[in-house]
Amino acid sequence: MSLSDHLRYLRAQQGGTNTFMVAQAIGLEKPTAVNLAEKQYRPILDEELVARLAEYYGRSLEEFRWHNARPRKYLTFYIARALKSKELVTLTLRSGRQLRGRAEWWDFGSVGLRDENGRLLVIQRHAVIDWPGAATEWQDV
Amino acid sequence: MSNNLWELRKQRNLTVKQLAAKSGIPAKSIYAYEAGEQVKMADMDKLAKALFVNKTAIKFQSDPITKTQPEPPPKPAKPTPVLKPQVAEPKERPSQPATEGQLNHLHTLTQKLGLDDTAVFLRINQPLDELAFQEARFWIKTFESELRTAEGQRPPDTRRLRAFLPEGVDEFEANYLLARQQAGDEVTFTLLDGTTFNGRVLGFGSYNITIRQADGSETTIQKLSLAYYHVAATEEKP
Repeated sequence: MSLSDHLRYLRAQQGGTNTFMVAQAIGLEKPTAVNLAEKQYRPILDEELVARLAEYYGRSLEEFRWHNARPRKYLTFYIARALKSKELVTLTLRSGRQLRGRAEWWDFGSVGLRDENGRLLVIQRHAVIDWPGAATEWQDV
Repeated sequence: MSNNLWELRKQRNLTVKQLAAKSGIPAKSIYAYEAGEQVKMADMDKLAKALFVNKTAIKFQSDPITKTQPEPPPKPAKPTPVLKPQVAEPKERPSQPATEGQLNHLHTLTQKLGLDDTAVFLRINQPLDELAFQEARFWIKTFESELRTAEGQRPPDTRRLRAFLPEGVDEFEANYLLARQQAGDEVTFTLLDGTTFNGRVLGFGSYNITIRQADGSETTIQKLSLAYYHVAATEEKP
């Protein structure tokens, strides 16, 4: 799960907080930076913003950095490579459950994975928290 | 072998004004160079780059333009109203290389247009990575426009409509859900916390999916709370 997905998830858990309120709470005049941070497909480069958001949500900076090292673009690279090489894909979900199978397609919101039982699982990309080589083996796609 | 400046310009179908814009040299100087004035060394570099040629390919002193291909003289400047302030000419800017972002965007655009490296080279007369900032801007605009035209020519039902937030339903998922909805398949939805729902897809929006469960109740599942889903039956319909 990318930090952007994690941020949207944490804000949704608060129930009703909008990005304007988050921006004000972390001392920003406008919500632009928070809006962008929640929708980024690449890592958030502003370390200070990451630290402020971690503090706001009561989470550790290490946790936020861990998520920031696993953005959506890197997952795209992993899936696109697996699609080409037909290699087996292992995706770890937020719940800790691991799903394995062969990727059949991917789009911006989900991944179509054929599991060993022959079922096509439509896995939400925001639910994928980790995958092999997540933070190390990647190229921008 | 070196050529007259005006010859090279005409071979590339450029007007003096266009060459001035590409090179950053005032049109007045280009007219003077084409008329036979010696080209300054600093301008020679700019001209060579703008015309995609080696510096040695341009004559330092061009021969006068032949009468068979007359160059229209510059239009006389319109009389300026006395009280109107004169607008200053834009300052020359040094040509900067294209940014990494521009080059990435250009690579993506050319890929979407189905152009390989050779095709791109033939279009822009130089390797993509060697473009200057202004040239990259020009080609981004051109390729974006071509892509829009190509997209516009696709049938409306195959046109891609992307949701605003990353968790939104995108092309493949929309097709999959639509197929399940039309087939009336029973689908099992698993949420992030492990909770499961079984039901038939009644409809879906960008950020939610509404299902009818076996007891007749309707449930709307927010995409952000969803982990994955699959057809409940073992035999999946195509």
